[in-house]
Amino acid sequence: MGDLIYLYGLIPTNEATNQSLPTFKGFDGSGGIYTIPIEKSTAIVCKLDSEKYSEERIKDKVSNDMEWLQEKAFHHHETVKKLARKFTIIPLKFCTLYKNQDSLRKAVHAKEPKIESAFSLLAGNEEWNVKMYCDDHVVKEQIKKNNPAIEAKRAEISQLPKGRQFFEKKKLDKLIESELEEEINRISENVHLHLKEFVIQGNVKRNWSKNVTGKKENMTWNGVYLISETAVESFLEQVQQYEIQMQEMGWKFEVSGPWPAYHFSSYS
Amino acid sequence: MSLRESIENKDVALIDILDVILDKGVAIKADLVISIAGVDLVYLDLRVLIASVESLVQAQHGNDQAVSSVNFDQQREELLDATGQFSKWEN
Repeated sequence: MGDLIYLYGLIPTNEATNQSLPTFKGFDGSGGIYTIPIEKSTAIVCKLDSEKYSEERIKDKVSNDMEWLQEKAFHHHETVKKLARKFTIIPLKFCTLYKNQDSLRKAVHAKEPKIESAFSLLAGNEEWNVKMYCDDHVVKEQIKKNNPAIEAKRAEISQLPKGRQFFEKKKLDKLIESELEEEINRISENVHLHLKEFVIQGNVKRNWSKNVTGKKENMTWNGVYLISETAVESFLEQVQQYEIQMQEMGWKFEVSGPWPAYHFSSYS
Repeated sequence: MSLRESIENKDVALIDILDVILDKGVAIKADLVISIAGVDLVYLDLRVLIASVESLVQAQHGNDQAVSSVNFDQQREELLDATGQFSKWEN
């Protein structure tokens, strides 16, 4: 019955009145995007047919129709990203829908203080993502060579009777594995802590496994950073320096951004 | 070109977008290959959740470990240690 309201994001009303909204097509590709001022925040929305976009239908599409998901996810991302270039924006998650204007107004009104503090945190700042990857084999070789505890253990093992060497070598392998994990975490965390000096906030996300990344290296760090626009370039230069310095030791960096600040503006 | 511009102009992989914009718990059930502008290819198998990608994959790893040969080896060693069979063989 009637139209649903698809909410892309919230921007400060004073910014909305100073600048006009660019023209965008809506989520269903036909209608346009428009604004609904709600006190100090202005919602950026489009209308959606409630029959075509029921909760079940959306869930079904997201789960079973990859082409649809790809197209719509891009639409959402591109729209919010373009808005983020012009306005301070609290980006909303994919398919955030309200039954009607009234329910949207009520929801926004109830969160007014939270929204305001998010605006002041986000103004003039950008979100960037840094992923670190590591070739285990290279680091493992370095550990084998440079770790005195492992060297000592190896020498000890070579003195043992043959039968026992087999089991002791296995134990040593296990020791190397745990040293490897520690070393990788230590290096990744040090980089993260150093990068945090350039930023307003830095959060750590979970690493993705290889079947998600499709890479031969392991992801060792997945960090999101809220950075002042003026500090972005020096932040990126720092990442680039790490990239150059650590390349030979099996490390890779992947930076993406600027992202709408999804990780620093919890609206829901 | 500044670093910022060169990164900004790069294609972003769909999986990165989905990881950011999807609410947790939204499942992708089919096998799929994601390709954006022919750049990033990401294969996701049946068991992978997007947005909860990480938690699900980690949960699987947890399960894997419970039945992996590493664990069996460890248990066997512990048993051997406990029963003192090593010393019998050595001498």
